[in-house]
Amino acid sequence: MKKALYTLSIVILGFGQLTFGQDDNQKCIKCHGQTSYIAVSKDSTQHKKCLMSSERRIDTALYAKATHGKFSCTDCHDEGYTKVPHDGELKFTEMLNCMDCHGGNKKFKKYNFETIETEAKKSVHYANSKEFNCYKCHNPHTFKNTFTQNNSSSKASIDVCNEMCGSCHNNPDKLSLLTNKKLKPLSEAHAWLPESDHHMQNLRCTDCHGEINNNIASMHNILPASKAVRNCSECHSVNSRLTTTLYKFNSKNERKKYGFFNSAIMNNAYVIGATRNEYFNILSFLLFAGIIAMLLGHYILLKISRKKNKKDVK
Amino acid sequence: MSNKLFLYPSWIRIWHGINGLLCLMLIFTGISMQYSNVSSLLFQLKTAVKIHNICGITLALNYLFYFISNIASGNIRFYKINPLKDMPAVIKQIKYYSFGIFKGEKEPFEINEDRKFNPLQRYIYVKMMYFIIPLIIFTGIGLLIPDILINNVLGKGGFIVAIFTHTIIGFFISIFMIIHFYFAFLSKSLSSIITGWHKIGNHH
Repeated sequence: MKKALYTLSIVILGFGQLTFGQDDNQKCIKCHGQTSYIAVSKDSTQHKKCLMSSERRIDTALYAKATHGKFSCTDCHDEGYTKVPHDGELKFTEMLNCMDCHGGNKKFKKYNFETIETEAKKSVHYANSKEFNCYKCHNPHTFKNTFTQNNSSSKASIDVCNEMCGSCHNNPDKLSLLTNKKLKPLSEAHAWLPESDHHMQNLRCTDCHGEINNNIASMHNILPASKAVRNCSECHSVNSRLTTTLYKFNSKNERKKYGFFNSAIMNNAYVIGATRNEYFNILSFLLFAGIIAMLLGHYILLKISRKKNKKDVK
Repeated sequence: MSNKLFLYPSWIRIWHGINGLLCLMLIFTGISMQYSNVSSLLFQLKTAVKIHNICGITLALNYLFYFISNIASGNIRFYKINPLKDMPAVIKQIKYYSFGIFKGEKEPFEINEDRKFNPLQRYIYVKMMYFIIPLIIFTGIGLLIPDILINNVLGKGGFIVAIFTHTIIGFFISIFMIIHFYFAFLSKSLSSIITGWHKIGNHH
């Protein structure tokens, strides 16, 4: 009976400062934009104040700025939600999938959604959990595509990417929704890595944990930890894997931001050690030394022979 | 009869001067970048990268000016080579620099209004201006705009192929510069590219 009472339905609690645009969304946000709400029994006789779980809470300010921030809640959520308070059973209705809108749509061709889907389905996340979907990493209520924004810096994109991973891998409670495995905290798992803080702040997790893909945004095949990069020379070497991803992104982005000439001049993305090859360096020294020695020899011989020729003439 | 020949019009001298200075800057900054672990070598890495980028773009524009002016002014006639037909003359010139010069022999090819460069000079200049310099410019553009590079060149990333080609050619240009200076110094003809007047009997 009690259970039946709390088959949740909802009623307004607060009159918070809502920045939400759509009128329809206001109805939803009155509860989902708050930390608590009042649950009402089906016969409307009983009320109970409950906490709104963080999973179901919408940050209205972030939503307004998000890529999908102009949408009505029911554009993606079941039509049943148009009636508030809504029936708690609605949570069992099938959710709209990202590919339902983005898949096979010419308008979104440049984002490579099909490649992203294929890559993601190969990933360790899909292999380990049937519950896994795009939303587990990309919160559709706050999502902003940092890689296609003109003013985004690579550091900002790195932070956004890594927050996604951290939202589960630094949060055992959220992680337990997908797996029963107990994973080590990130700091402990990366303790073997020299300068681990530097690496984790200045690289995307996917730079080491993802399968290299030439398009930075399409890198969605997250590999099992056993296949992650552990070899320093994969990045700190001639054919660095970073040159295929972050370097290209940086350069492309700076061009958008500063224009071609400025970005070319301001381009700081010189890949240190890209041609750092011991044999190459030795060879270049030998080449320079050889040429200078040869010319010096030529000049000395010339001086000597000219003196000799003068003497002979005399 | 005048013992002076006017060989280098002002546009060539201006282009040559700018090109030379830019090449020197590119070589110094390039060396600073290549051996950036050698402490305080010529330039700091960040400064070297910036100067290298600016000079590289300017050099590319200067090359474009040369390319167009060379055709428009007709100066390109001095750059015509026939690799097979010219080879005996090129070898003759090499033999002169390797042996004849020590014996006090006369230069095998006199410089005149129709032959501004000796056969070896002409051969090297053509290769430099129509092969080596464009290649370093194109690879340089590729490194500035890496997303235009081909992703896979014979199993290697296009970036790596471009950066190695760029660096190796950089070394060759450095060697060319050293030799170029040496022969200019040897034939006491450094002043002719500044004044435009070539003293007959002085070649490099």
